[in-house]
Amino acid sequence: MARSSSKPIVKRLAIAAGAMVFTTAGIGALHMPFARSLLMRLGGCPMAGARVTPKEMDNGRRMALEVERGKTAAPARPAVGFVLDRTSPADVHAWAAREHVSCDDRHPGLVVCTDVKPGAVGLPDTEGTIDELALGFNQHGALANETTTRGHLTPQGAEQAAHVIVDSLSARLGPADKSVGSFGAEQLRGPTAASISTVSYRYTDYVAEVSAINLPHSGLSVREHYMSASD
Amino acid sequence: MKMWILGVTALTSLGIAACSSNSSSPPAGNSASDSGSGSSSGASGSSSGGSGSSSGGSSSSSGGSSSSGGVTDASGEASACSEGTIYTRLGGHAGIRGAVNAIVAAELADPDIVTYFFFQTTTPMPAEHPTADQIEECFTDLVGAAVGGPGESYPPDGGVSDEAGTFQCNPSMQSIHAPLLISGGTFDKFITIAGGVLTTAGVCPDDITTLAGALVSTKTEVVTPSLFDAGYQAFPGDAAATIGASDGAVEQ
Repeated sequence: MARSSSKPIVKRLAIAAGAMVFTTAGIGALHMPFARSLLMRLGGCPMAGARVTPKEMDNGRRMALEVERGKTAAPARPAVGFVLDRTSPADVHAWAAREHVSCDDRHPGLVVCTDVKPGAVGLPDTEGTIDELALGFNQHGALANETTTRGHLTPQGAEQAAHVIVDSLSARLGPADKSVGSFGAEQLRGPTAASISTVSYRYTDYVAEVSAINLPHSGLSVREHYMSASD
Repeated sequence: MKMWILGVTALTSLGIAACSSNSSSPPAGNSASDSGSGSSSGASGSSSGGSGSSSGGSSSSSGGSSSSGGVTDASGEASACSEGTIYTRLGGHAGIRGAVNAIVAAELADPDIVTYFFFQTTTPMPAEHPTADQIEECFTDLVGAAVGGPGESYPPDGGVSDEAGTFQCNPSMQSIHAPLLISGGTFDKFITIAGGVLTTAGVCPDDITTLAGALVSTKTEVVTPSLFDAGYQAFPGDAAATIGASDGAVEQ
């Protein structure tokens, strides 16, 4: 009696085990090079999209800070439109919806917005449209890293945008730790190396830098970078 | 039956390994964009700019030097731009290594660029991938050889070594970068960051021109052809296989 009742259980276990093995084999086979295109058509590997997480981004930021951290606390920690160590991804998406800005979650902890009008982040029109606004969040979901990039600028446009940004930083932070170049149109229209202008601020809890460069293919661009160093 | 299960397990493991190596970070370092991080797991503190790095390829002794390295001192005081060769003005191998470390740190600080360095920012770092220190040393050797440094060669004979072992630098720009699906915009952002670091460090303008020229000239090899005119983008992750399949840029 006991032997006959155990047969269905064994049979079910065998079927379940077989199904698991079959599924595992199928997933494994889909990841083989010869089947990669099929996997992509099926939507890709769900695990692969999770490669870079806020943990890795935090690690990278801390590695950078080993080199870039300053020795005194910042008198202020300005960033474009948002607040370091406070703004969350939800805040950004709410802002994007409100301001009709296109933003994507490129990776967990990384939101990238494109074609951001200066008014959307509280800046004067003279700063020009931000081609890319990248916002990196730490493991606690707070804004830790921000960059803006404005590209394909005219020398005059780059000079104007850069000077507004640099003057604003100078007003809040004082003289830069390092400053090279004038951000003037005459310099910016020069060849790559000669065109570079940059200012940088280094504190124990904050890093900021602005740079402009003229590159052969993409022309003049201005980049801002604001990073929390409080952790 | 047991052999069959073993076979399935092996197949699964291979598949997952293929998935995880599909996109991720480059197998070798030839440009600082390949470089991983400063000292993942503190690997010789390479990108910390401080500390002498332990790496040192067969042809080179590495040398951490400060972040401003031998290029210039921290006050921005430039060395005489008309004296010596570009190699000596850069501070020799140790000076170049210091500049590389500073560039890598600056690249890692960018929220877009850092996404290309998954393995170097993962702790513990997977053993089968080059450490940040090894990648930085490969790049240092590459630059040293490019500017004609005596005794410099790329790839260095015998590879580069640190406490994690020895790594053979990959001589092919294209094969290193193809899996990363780097766009023209991302490449330009990398150059912008590197140029800012070198300028801030006080490297002589003519030497920056030389270095920038060498870097910019690699664009056609580094950037995925179909993405040459594309803007800035973070590492596209597994989408790499899809995009690469269309132009053959990605090893499947």
